[in-house]
Amino acid sequence: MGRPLKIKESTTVDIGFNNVGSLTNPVYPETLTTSNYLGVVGGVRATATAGFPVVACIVNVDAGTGVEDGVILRQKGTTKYLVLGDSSGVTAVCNLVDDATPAIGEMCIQMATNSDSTLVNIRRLTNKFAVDYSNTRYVINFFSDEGSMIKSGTNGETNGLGQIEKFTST
Amino acid sequence: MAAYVLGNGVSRRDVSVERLLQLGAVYGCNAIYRDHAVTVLVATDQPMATEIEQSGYSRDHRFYTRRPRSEFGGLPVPQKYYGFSSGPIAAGLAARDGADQVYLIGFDMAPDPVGRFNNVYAGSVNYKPLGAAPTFTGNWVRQLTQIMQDHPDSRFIHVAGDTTADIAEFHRVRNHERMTMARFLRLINK
Repeated sequence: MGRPLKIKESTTVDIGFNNVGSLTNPVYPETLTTSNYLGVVGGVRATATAGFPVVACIVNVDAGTGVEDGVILRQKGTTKYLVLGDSSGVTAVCNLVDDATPAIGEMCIQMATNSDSTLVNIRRLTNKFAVDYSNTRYVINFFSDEGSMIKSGTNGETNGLGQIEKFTST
Repeated sequence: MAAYVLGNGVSRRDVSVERLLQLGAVYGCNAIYRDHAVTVLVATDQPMATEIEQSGYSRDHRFYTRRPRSEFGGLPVPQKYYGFSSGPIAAGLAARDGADQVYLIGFDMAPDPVGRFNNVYAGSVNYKPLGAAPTFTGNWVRQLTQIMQDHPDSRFIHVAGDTTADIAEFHRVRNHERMTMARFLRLINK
C-alpha cells in the first residue's frame, strides 16, 4: 500500500506538515494561506486544533450504535483502517466504501472538491493525495477545495484540490 | 403551505425577506443569518457553521449543519442529504416539513452579470472575494433535481431574476416550474 497515512501522536508530534510559508520557493495554490499546508493526518480528536486538524470519518464499528463519526488510529491496508468510534469509543478495523451510511465493518471518508460544499466519497487516501470513485486524483489538505496544483514532472497538467473532512477540536 | 428557500445569488436582493417571513416559513443558507433571522438556517461549510455556532444564533434558532456541536444547539442535516450543499438541503428540509409549494429564490446557479462569483456575501468573511471565479454548479443541479424527484407532492418553483440560469435538467422534472421575478414579486406583494 506504500507509505501509510501519518498519524498525529499528540498536539506536538506529527501534527501535520510544514506550512507553505516555511518552505523555500514553494509552489502552492493561491487559496492557501502561508500558515496552511498540503497533506492530512489521522489521529484522535483530543489532538485536533483549528490549525492542525485530524481526518474525520463516518464509521460503523459494530458497537450497537450504528453509523457514527470516527477517527483513524492506523492505516492497515490500501483501503483498510483501524478506527475509533467517536461516541461509542469502540475500536475496529474498517474498509473504505462508497457509502456515507456504511455497514458494520465499513467506513467512509469524504472531501469537498468544487468550492460548492458538496462532499464526495474517497476510494483511496494517502498523506498527500486522494482518489474519488470516479478515479479522479486530488491533492488534499484541510483548508481549501479551490485551486489546483501542477502535477510533478509535467508541463502545466494539474490536480484539483480536495478538502478532507476534519475535526478541529474535541 | 408555501415555503421560501433562499439561496444567496444576487437575484434575491430584489426580494424582501421580511415580507416572506410574513407569508410563510423561510429557509436560508450560510451568512444570511447576519442580516435576517430565518425560520431554518443551513450551513454545511465548516468555517461558516463554526461562525454561526460561535455567534450564538444556533442556540435560539433552528440550524442544521453536518457535525453540529451539542453545546451550540444545532441539528444534524438529514442523513440522506448529508453530502449535499446548503441550498439543496434547505430545499429538501422545506419539502420534508410539508411545504406543498417550495419557492427557490436566489438560486442563480450562474455567474454574476460580469461573469464572476455570484453571491450576495462575496468578499465577506468565509466567502470568496468579489471578482473570484464562479462556483461550479453541476452538483447543485444534480442535488436539487434529486430533491424534487424525492418529493413529488411538492411543487418547486424556481424564481428567475436577471442573473438566474435556466436549468435544462429541471425542466425534465414534473413538479418543477419556473417563474419570473416580476411575477413572483407581484404574487407576494398583492
